[in-house]
Amino acid sequence: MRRTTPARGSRWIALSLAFATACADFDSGVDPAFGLPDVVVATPSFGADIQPILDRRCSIGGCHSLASAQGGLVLHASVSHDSLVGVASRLRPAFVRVAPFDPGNSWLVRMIGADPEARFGHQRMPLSSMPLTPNQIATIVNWIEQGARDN
Amino acid sequence: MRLAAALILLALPAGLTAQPREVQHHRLDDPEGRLMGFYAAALAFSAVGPAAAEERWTLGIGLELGYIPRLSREQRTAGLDKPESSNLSPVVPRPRVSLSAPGGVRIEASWVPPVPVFDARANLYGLALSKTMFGYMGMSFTPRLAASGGRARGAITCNADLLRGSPSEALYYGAICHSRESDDHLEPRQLSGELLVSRPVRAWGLTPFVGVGARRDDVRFDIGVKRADGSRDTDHPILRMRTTRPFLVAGASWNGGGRTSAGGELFHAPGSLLTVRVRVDVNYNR
Repeated sequence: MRRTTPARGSRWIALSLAFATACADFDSGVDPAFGLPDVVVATPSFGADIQPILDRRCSIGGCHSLASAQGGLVLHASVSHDSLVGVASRLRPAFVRVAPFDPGNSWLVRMIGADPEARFGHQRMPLSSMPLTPNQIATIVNWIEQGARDN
Repeated sequence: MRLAAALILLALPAGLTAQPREVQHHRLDDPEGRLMGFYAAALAFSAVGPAAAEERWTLGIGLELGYIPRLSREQRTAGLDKPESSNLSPVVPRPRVSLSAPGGVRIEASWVPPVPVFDARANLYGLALSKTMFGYMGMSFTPRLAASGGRARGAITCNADLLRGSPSEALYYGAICHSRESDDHLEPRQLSGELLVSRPVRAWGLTPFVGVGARRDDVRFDIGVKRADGSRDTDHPILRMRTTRPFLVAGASWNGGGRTSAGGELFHAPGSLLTVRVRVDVNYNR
């Protein structure tokens, strides 16, 4: 006849407790600004204030990089200004991607904004990711309002 | 002929010409680094206890099961995109052999063969050398050096589960993933040193132990998005993280006097995970 010793029972208890305590030891803690300064730039420069946002959030592998060019849009630093300013949107040809001095009619601003009607139902950009922060969006709006210069 | 080949290459769109993969370096405290650090720790080749008073020239053949805690959606969100589909398997089954040599020396080897385990497939190997020294008040001290490497594969970046997610995730699967599951490679290369302290409790055949160690991790994550034709989309980067960090273990080995021995440990890699590993060995003595 098999004996059930206290030691045998305590081994199972210990093992059960061990499995119950197993867990990940870290929090998610994603930075909504993605490491970029989360401030509104009143007089933005394209090179210093806009392109870093495009580099970090848009011109990444599989998206608006040179190789992937989703939606026919490349936001790599070498071509981004020419791809945006005064160029008709492929998704919505009635709009230009960036209309200088007119952020309300710039498709870029509509696509990164919270209003789905302004995007005509298209998914907000960046796709499947956290949206740009309100400060980053305001910086882009300021840049367009001031003429969307390549400075 | 060469001129013709050059002209053909020039005529190809940028996306079709070969380009070097971008390598992104991450730290353990950023979202991508935390995920890589978690899985590197989960796959670490630890001792799961010192040798349980084996006679010399004992060959142990066994199986270890390591538990991989399930991560929440937030923990799997590595920053750039949607949550990664990394909860592919809750367990790492690790066959292992050990040879106890004279002088308390033990050599261990392990291999996780490339067979599917749930939704993952690994090919991981490890080698360790330890020496048990008997000391004060019946305690034993076992320094151990271990090295491990290999690859674990799965559909982490692009998983068909995305189609059951938000409209944005479904669109991501179609546009970025080319409607195909990815073949991502996680390659954790590790070198670790640890010291185990144990003391047998003879009445129960148990040898409780505690240990502390440091591990050098060099983790590479090759994002394996596949194009519609099945080729690898090299537009996606390779992520890399190198770090050195401590770990703690506590557990017990059991030797019932027959051929079978067993062990279990809690393994804690601060900042990554607390998990449990158990092993069972069958021992053959000369």
